[in-house]
Amino acid sequence: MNAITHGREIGAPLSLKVDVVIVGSGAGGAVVARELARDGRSVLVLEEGGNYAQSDYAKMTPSNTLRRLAREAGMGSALGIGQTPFISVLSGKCVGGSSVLTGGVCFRIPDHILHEWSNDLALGKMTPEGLDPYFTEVERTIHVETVPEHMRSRSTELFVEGATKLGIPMKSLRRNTKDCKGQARCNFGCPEGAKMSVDVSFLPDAFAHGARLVSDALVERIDFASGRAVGVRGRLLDGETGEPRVPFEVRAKVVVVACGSLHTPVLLRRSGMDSRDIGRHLTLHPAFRVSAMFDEEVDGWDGSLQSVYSDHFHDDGITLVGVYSAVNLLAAGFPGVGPRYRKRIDRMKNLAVFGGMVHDDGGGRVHRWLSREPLVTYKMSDRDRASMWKGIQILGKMAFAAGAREVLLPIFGADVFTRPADIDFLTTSPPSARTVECMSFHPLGSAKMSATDKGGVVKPTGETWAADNLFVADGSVLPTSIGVNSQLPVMGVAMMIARGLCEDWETYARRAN
Amino acid sequence: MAPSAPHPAAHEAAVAAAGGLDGAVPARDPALLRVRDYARTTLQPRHRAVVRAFAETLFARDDGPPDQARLDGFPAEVDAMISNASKTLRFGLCVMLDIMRWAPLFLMGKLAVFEDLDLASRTKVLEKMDRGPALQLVFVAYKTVVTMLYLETPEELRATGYSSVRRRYTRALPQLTDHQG
Repeated sequence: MNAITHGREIGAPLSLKVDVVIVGSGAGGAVVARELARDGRSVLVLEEGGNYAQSDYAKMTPSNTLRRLAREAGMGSALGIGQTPFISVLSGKCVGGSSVLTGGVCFRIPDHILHEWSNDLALGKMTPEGLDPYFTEVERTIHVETVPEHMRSRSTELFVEGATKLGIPMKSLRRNTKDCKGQARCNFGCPEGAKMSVDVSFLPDAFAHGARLVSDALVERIDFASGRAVGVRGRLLDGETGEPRVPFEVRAKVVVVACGSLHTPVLLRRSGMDSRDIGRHLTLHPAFRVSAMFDEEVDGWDGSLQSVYSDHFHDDGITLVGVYSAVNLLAAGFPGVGPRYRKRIDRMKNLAVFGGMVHDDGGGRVHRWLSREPLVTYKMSDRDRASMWKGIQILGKMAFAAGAREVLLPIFGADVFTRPADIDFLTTSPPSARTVECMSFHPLGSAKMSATDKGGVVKPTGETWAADNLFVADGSVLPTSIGVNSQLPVMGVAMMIARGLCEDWETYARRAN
Repeated sequence: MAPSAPHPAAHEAAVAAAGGLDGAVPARDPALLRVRDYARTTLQPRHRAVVRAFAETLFARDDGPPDQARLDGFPAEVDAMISNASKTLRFGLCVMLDIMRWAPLFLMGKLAVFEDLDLASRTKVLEKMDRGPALQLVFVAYKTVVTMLYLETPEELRATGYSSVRRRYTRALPQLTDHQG
C-alpha cells in the first residue's frame, strides 16, 4: 500500500499499534520519523493537514495555497497586548508542515545563543560542537546551498545598493534548494519541487524505511497509563466539511508531539498536562517590510524570494533581509481606497520590498480557546519595540538611498513618504505600535527545554518532565529566541532528540512493556 | 503532573487486534475529496452584500466601479477562502463585516448600511476606517483578503504588470557567441 493514507478518504474507525507515533509531519516530526524508521522502529506519522503532490502547488494560486496548506487559511494571528502590533502568524497545516511554506532560509543556531543555552541554562549538549553533526546531516539531506548572486531579483539588488550606500554590509543567504528557478513563490509551496522541504526530503526517506503517514488526522488527546504516554486518539477530518468525523486511535511505545509551537501546547493541555510553562515563553521574531516605488521597472517577482541578509545591527536585535512575495499580497499593503489605490497597484512593476525582523525577548503565550485553533497573545517588550521602529527606519533610509521615489512604511493609514527626513519620526516620536503591519513566520519556545523540571516542559532529551515516553520535537522546545530563521534549528534539534531516542530505545521500550 | 487517564478496556482490545491501514474503509470519491475546498459556507446574505460593496469601492477607478459580473461572483470567492478557517475566526470575520456594515452610523452619523451608500460615500467611510484607530483592523483585515483574491485572476495580474515570463535568468546565462554556434 501507499506510505501516505488520506484520512479524509477513510470511512470507518481505525485502530493501530506501532512503536512510535508522531503527531505532526513538519520540520520536527519528519526528521524524527526518518531517524526512527531508519533505526528499525515501526513509525506512524499523523498529520492534521492534507497531503498534496508537488504538481498541485504549481496549479494553486497564492490564496488556494493559503487556504489549503496554512492554518486558519493563512489568517492566523497573535493578539497584541498593550503597545504591541497585531501580528499575522503563518504556519503550515499540510504534509510537510511549515517547511512547505517557508522561504527556505537556513541558518544554524548562532554560537552566542548556544553558549547561553549551554552555560546559563545548563543545557550541556547544546553547544556548537554538540549540534554540529546534526546540522551537518540535516544540511546534507535538505541540500542547503548559498544563493548565487545571479539569482538575486532586481528588488534584492536595490536592497543591496541601498545598504551599500549606507555602509551596511550584506551577506548571501543559504537556502534548502536544488535547481531553483527563481519564481519567488517559496511561501506558497514550490511549484518546481526545487525547495527541499521535508515532504520531498526527510519524509520520502522515512517512507522508504517503512514509516507510514495518515493525513487529515486530528489528534485530540494523548493517552496516558501510570504516568506514561501510551498512545493518541482523535478523529479523521471529513472530506466534505473539514470537521472531525471518523475516530481513530494509535497505541505506541513512544509518543512524539511535533505540532509546532502553536499547537503542541494545546495538545498537551487538552491531554490534561498542567505544567505552568506549557504555552508560555512564546517568541515570534516579529517581522516587517518596507515597500518602495522606483522609477525603473523592478519586476521584483523575477528572482529568488530571499537571497541576502545583514546582521550588521545584531546588537540592536535587528536582522535585515531581502524579501518579496506574491504581488496580490504586496498590493494589500498599499495605502488608499479606490482610484488612488488602483493607480498604485498599476505600478507594481516598479515595486521593491525590503524586510527585517526583530530578535525578540518573548512575551507570547498560547492559550486553549473556543475552537481547535489556539488564542495567541503577545506583549512586545520596550526593547523589541524600539528595535522594530529602528529597523523600519533603516529599511526606509536604505530604500531612499537606493533611489526610491516613494517609500511605503508598514503603518496602517500612513501615506507614502518622499524624503528621507520624513521618516525620522520613527525613532524620535513613533506612532502607536498597534498600527504596525507585522508578521511572524517563526513561532518558537512554547514548550521549552530546561535542565530541571522548574521553568520548562521537556528535558534535554526532549522527553517531557511530566510523563514518561512522551517527547516533544519541534520549535516549541527551543528555550529562547534565536534571532534567525527557524527551519534548520528546528530540524537540528529534532535530530538530536531523535538520535537520543534511538540510542536509548531499549530503556523506553522496556518501560512500555 | 501528567494525568493517568486509563484507556478504556474495549479500546485496548481493538488496538490489540490492530487491523492496520490496509483495512481502512474508503469514504467517498478520493480524487474529488483531495483538492477541492470544504463544502461549508460562512457568509450570510448581508455579509455578502458588504463584501461586494467593499470590493467595488476598493477597486474603483477614475472611470467608475469595476466589472459588475466579477463583483457578483466575488463574495463566493471570499466565502470559500474564509470558510477554511476555524469557527472562532470565521465568527470574528463575520462580526467584522457587521461592524463595517454599520460603520456609516459609527463614523458619519448616517443611518444607513454600508452597501446602500453611493460609491463616493463608501469611499469616505473606508478612508475613515483606514485612518482612525477604532475600525482600522477591520478595514485592514478585509483589504488584505479581498485584495489577495481580487487581484488573483490572470487579467488583474496582467493589469498590475505582472508577467510569469522570467527574464533575469536568461540574461544571467552565458551569451552564445558565433564561435559557440
